[in-house]
Amino acid sequence: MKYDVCIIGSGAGAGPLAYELSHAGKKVVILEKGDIYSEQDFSKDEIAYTKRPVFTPKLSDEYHTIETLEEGKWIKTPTYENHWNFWNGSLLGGSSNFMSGFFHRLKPNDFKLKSVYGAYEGANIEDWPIRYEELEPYYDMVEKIVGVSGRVSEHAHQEPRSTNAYPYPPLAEHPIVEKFDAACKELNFTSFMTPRAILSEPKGNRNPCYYSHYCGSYACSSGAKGSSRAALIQPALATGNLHIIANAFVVKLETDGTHKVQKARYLTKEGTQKQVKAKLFILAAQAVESSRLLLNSKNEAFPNGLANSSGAVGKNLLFSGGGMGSGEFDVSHFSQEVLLQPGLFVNRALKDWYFTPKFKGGLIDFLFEHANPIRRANALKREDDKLIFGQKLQDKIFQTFTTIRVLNFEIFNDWMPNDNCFVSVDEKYKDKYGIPVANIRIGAHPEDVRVGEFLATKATQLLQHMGAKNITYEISPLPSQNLQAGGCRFGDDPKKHVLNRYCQSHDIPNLFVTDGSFMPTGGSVPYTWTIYANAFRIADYIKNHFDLLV
Amino acid sequence: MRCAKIATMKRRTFIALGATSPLFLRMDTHAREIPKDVWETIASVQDVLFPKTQHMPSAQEVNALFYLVSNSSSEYFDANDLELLIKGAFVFHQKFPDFWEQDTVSKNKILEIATKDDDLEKWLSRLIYYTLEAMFSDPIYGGNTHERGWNATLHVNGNPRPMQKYGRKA
Repeated sequence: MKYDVCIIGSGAGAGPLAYELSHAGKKVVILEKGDIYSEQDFSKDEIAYTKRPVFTPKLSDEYHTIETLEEGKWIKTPTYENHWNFWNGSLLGGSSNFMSGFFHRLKPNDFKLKSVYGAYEGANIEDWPIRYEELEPYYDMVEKIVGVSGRVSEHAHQEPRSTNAYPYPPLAEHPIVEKFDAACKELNFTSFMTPRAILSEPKGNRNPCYYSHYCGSYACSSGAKGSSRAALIQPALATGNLHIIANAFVVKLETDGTHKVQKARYLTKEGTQKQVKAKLFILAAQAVESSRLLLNSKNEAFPNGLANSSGAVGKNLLFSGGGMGSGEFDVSHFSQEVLLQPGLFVNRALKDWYFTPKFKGGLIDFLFEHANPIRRANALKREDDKLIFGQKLQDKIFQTFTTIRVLNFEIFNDWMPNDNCFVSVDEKYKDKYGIPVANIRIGAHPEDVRVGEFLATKATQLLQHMGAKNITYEISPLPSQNLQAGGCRFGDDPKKHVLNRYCQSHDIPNLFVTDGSFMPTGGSVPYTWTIYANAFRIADYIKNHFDLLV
Repeated sequence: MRCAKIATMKRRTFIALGATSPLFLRMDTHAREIPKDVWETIASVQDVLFPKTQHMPSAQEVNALFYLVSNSSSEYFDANDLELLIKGAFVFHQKFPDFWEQDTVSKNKILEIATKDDDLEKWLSRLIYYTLEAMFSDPIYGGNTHERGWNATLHVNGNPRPMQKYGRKA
């Protein structure tokens, strides 16, 4: 059978295409590396979700190599040695199952950072080929189809919106937000209510949030979280036009003499090689793996990899700059019952310094430390870097768990694209199937840390005014592995850009890349909402031009 | 949500130490082949690491040894960790052969001494970690008997609880 459309991956960059194209009557197949799960399969099991490679490959079987700069040299380390896991979710819906759903739009100036701030030495900043106004209708579409809850907060950098309100009311909040809001008022900061891709009311077959107390890092058992699986793929399946092949690891895209992709070769869990033919191919395997597949798909016609006549595949990989910090609240701030009240959200952020007159700032999200007790207890086993045990450790665990609640902050600032942050493949390093793994060189621009430090001072100032104790933070040039973008920049110049403004390969007309790979700059927010919105935009383009594209 | 990453970078040093230390000679480690005295050493150390206190259950009360034995044979258990746990027990037993005969005060002193040895410190750190897994994981895994770890710390676990181990489908 030859499908109309073959989508590789099923996360945020894939779901909107599956949803829109299957509803438009196209015969669509998804090749998903992992298995198919539904709401009834999910639970709040810290071991399975955060401590074992259950929803990601075992690193001894499938790994990445990471290059970091150590004493002036780039040192390559396989992740089965350093345990830095760059897989973020191999199952239907991908890593969107495990997101926290902190949903922030980009702002108009994020699309033209170079024009606004000029070039940064050592950074490859480039304006986007599209403007915010072109993406705004699709951000709005995500609010309605995926489901976004919250209340629009007016602030200095508020992006234009086509509606005045989110379609779903805010989620229930913990009383700590009263302290947050009061401190903001005293400091003349703007308290920003964070929109969440979590339903506060029912939507179709999806139930609203039930405040499970275990949200981020866990798949949602009610369908409230706007994962690609729950919000888009399940409705797409109902059209009868979508077929999903699970446990299908795509290892090569094959072209023919017309320079179009004809088939995707994949391996089953057992290692058997199979193939799928389609008229049009959409690659959305998350940024690192998408670049890896293009590079591994080299052939005689495309000796440097597919879609890579520019040589730009894998280049200008993006993460998120910034870091994390925290402050403690205890029974001197709230009664024990209120302090430990489970499930309720904080949903507050600071965006006052998203842009500053002289440099691009960023976002500070506030959230309670995750409830995971194994992780929390294990973090208590050292004092002054010395191991503690026995009565001392037991008392510390009891005291901390029963009298302290930690309010975290997470800083997101632009990761400056640069020549030392990229994906490549190296024939010397192969996975258990014999496929070259992705090498990820992680070179950070000094601006990433400088801006992170600047924002951390604002966050700690707020925590101090809230009366928090033991305030700490850490800004690092090492990225969070779950926030990936770039590697296949979009733009109008085929000599410089992998994709055109519709995320279509400049070289191969029936090949699109719709995960975060297209982004020239990432903005200072988590990427998911923008990936969703852009994928809806591309879906519209494909629907309207399908016959011309194939 | 940002994922923590700093600890992971330190891990490489840890692995390298485990692999090159003269104390830690290479051996195959499958749980079913592990000598009984390794588990006895681990159990006696767990008892000191996590004694019963006024508020907290002991390692025994959360079935910590059974948890480790039964889960270490899972395909998902970290093979490097298992190797470290077993080799560490051998080394500890060699260095402190009469540990189990000592009174509580002496046992604590021995563990204090052990923490000053780099390799044994890493072993103890891992042993603490897996005992904490026993204390706070869902009882379906064989630890946290009667939810004693959660109850002692007023921890409210999320729902639904797992019906199957290791994320197997319902």
